[in-house]
Amino acid sequence: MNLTFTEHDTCGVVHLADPRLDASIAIQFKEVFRTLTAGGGDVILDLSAVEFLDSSGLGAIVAVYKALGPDRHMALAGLQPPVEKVMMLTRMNSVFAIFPTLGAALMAAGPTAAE
Amino acid sequence: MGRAGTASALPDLASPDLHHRLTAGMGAVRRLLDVLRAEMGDAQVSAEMNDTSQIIMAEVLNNVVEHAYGFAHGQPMEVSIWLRPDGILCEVRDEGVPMPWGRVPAGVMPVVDQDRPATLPEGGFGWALVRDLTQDIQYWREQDQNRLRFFIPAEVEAD
Repeated sequence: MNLTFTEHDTCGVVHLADPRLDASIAIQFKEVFRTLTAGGGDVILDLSAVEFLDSSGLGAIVAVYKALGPDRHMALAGLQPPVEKVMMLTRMNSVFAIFPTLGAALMAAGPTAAE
Repeated sequence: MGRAGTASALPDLASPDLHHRLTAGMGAVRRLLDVLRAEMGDAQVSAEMNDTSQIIMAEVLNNVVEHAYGFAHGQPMEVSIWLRPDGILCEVRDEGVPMPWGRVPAGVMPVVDQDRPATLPEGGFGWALVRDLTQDIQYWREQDQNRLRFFIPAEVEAD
């Protein structure tokens, strides 16, 4: 699994470089995500490289969001069609702010976030 | 072979369009999904149908790995797929433990309340997705195997 964290002015960006967020990496994803975001602040999860999300992967996204606690926000960016489909079928698209691209998510996070 | 029940009612079951045997494991499932995506693409299955099939097959096959076999590696699994104009018929066979109560789980989509994040479900989506995206799910035991058959209609209503 290849998960990276980039600090921006108004939030942190977590980028998953794997093509699948599924049962085979869900537990590892949760552990590494929590470590990377331990410093606080709002988070954008950049899924633009992810071509496929299964129910375990979705569960992992929900788990890391809940672990951020009530005072931190998490947005999703760059959902490919199969990923978006799972989010819609499970109604999870009502929970997260979803942006077509990471750039759009950074713009929404604040005027200086993209710099 | 003496196939019983609904199996004998379908004429083309002897020769699936796609057929794979694999040994149980999440890596093997992931590799098979990649193969199926490529094969369906070659067979002119639409991108949307291909995506839908991936979602369903991932849930069904990982369920075999996790529950029928309890993560024991190396156990036999078999997937047969018939590509039809009106959709895709799939059958999955394994030699693991039967489904609980001998039935396909009800698969009710967990309640999502965006105003109460702490209550958001972290699981229970798998069979709900399968039920949403398929028709005519049948499960039976035959020759000490689990047999699961379902149809993915070419145009499905997502509810």
